[in-house]
Amino acid sequence: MDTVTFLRKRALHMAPVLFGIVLAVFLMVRLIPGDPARIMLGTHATPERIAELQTELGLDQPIWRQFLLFIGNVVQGELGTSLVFRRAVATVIFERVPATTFLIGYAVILSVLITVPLAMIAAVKQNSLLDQVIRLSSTLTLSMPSFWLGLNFLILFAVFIPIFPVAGYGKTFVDRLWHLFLPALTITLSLAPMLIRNLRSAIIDVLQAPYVEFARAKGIAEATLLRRHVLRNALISTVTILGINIGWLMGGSVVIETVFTIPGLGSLIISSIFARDYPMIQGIALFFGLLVILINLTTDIVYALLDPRVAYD
Amino acid sequence: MIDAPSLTSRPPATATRDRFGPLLAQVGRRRGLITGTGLLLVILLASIFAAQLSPYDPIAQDLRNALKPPSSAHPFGTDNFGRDIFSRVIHAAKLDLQIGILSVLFPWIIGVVLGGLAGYFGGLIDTLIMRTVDTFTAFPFLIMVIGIIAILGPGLTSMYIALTLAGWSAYARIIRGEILVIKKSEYVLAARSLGYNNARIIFRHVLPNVITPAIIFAMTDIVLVILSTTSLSFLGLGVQPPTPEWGSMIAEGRSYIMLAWWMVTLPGLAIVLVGFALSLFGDGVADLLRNED
Repeated sequence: MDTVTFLRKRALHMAPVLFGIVLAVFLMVRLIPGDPARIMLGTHATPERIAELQTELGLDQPIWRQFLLFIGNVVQGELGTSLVFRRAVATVIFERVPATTFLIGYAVILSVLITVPLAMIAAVKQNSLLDQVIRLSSTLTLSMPSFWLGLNFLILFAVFIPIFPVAGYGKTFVDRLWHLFLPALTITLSLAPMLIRNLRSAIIDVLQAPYVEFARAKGIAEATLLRRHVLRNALISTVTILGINIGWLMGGSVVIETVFTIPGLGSLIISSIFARDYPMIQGIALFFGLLVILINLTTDIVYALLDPRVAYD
Repeated sequence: MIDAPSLTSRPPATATRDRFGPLLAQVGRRRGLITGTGLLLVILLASIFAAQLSPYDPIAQDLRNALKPPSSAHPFGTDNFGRDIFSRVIHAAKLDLQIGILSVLFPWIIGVVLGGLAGYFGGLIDTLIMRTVDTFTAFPFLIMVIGIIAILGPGLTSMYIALTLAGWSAYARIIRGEILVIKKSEYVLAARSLGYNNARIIFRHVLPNVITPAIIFAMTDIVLVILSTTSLSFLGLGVQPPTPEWGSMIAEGRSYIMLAWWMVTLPGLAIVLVGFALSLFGDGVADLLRNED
């Protein structure tokens, strides 16, 4: 099967999931116990305003028409108006995307910088004291809730030793690197242990492969062998794990953005819940769902390109 | 002939040692499992005897003693209402453990049942269930949980429902995969040709053979679930104050981060301890079960 057919098949497989996501987000508001318009507007709303919002949300129409209208709107990128910001939901979301993307990207880069050397040491010196220390500290950091870790970083490096800011996002690129260092580090400490575990066992597997034996027999220097033959092959599975975890990282960013008061999508969804800004919540949920589909698709394609042995099916 | 006496003169005790020897050796090699089990037992006992162990009433306020740092009178210090943090941490253990266990158990049951139905019957049922699974896994776990809580309103019940709806699909996928393999095995075909009904085949022949991977997954899942539930309460979406719960205690401490670090750091240690104990225990049990297979 060639690449084009593979892509077409993969896209076809996506269609029902896409439909499911749109349906789930559509149902969100309709499943609210009671009258959604009344709940969104709170107890002090006038009957006129409630009726107006019902019409605006299309809640006075039959359910199947509501759904068709909803699909039509989503296709046009029309996600409704935020009840808090009084602006288009899509506009507000796109204003918040950069902060979240910066944070996740920063955390991924830090994680890779930590993972590669530690996993290599742990794998090459398998079962040594160093390996055990690396593994034990991975288990320990995995048991730490990220919000707690983040708050402790704040206590240590923003209150006791004030070298990092307590909150905010920064204006220039360097300013952002400084503002987002502690949040990114917090995410890194929960992501890196998983990656280290995975890369360590992948390196151990590759070290036993016949072609590594052969390279060694040829007399290649150990450092070159590790870099050229072992690491490159072992990294493939780590890239996949990273791709799978992007969705999980988005969830994590919700908590971390709240802890460090970063104006991203995560802190936006939490404040929208307390403000009962349902159009906003729907928009963010839809955005995250679509993003995960896109990332999964990209991971599959990158994986197939990296490793020609992966069958297109 | 020379060998014969040495063969028969084996001490009879070896027979029993043979049976228990490997098991004991296995346990001996599993320091992690033993440490994890020990820690869990201590935590469980502490949660059961919380009333006897805690020096103060967990909700009694004493405003004259507010925001006191850790001391011999208050080992974890006091919070903004002058409540003893150590007593609150111990009292919270029962609720936090209960939430963690139930939040794995509910999705486990639903996932096993639906995954079992999909795998065993195949066809339309399989397609319907698995497309639903695909949709549910498309959303990031925490985003989905938060979305569902947004619909139902913050609170403990909402959190249980949300975690169940967001968590079952992983178990369904695991069980379905296992059943697809075992369904074609000879003993299931034999049971079917003997004319046993579906219920008997599923419960007596199929499920016992496919359940292990789902248990192993649950063992690693429970740590993540406890971290998620405390995160939800921290965000204000789960357990609500003044009920002592680790996540919401840390959330309350967040406003006093400049004045009283102990309100944040010390309750969190309880979560780390439980998470660490469960990781060690879970990894150990998973290894044992895998070896049995």
